[in-house]
Amino acid sequence: MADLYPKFRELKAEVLSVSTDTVYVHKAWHDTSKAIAKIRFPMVADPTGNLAREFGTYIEGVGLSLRGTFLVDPDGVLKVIEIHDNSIGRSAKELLRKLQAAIFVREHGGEVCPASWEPGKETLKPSLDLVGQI
Amino acid sequence: MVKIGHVIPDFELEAYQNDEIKTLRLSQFRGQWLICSSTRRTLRSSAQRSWRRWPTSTRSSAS
Repeated sequence: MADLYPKFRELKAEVLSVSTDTVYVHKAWHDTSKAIAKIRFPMVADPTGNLAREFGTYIEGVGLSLRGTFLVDPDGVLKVIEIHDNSIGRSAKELLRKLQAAIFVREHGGEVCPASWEPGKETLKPSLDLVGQI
Repeated sequence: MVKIGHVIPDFELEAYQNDEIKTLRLSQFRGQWLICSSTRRTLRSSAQRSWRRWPTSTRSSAS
């Protein structure tokens, strides 16, 4: 995600990483990990787990969060939820694709992005004509 | 719990960015796309060694 952050900023999106660690632990990570040191977006602290519970990622009894990604539009409406077991990493590249699709749909009312859509590819206009055609 | 198609709740939280600690609200990001990415991250041994090098006065004020 750190490497692709500039691409998200070009699309006028902000990224927040969140964990149940405190801001001081975030600093410790930033100071000691080469991967985390590349991060330029805000690293949010959720030590109470309240945000994680609200988003459905809190692991009760453990105090940690699952890996979850939530894409929110400019009106504050949630558009994408992706939650993984902590043993399975996510793809920032795929998230970028989802953001591009969400932006396209917002800007082109009436059109939808089919599976694996990427910018430049064909979209669909839902109608009775599509019934049985996909 | 959050649902697709619904407005997310507003939270006020602390964040670390560019060697600064700041307070932010989720609602301040209205008007732009927002990606909230939750991670499992915990303090591991390498980060703990860094934590122990901090002055004790800083650690006590942080807790």
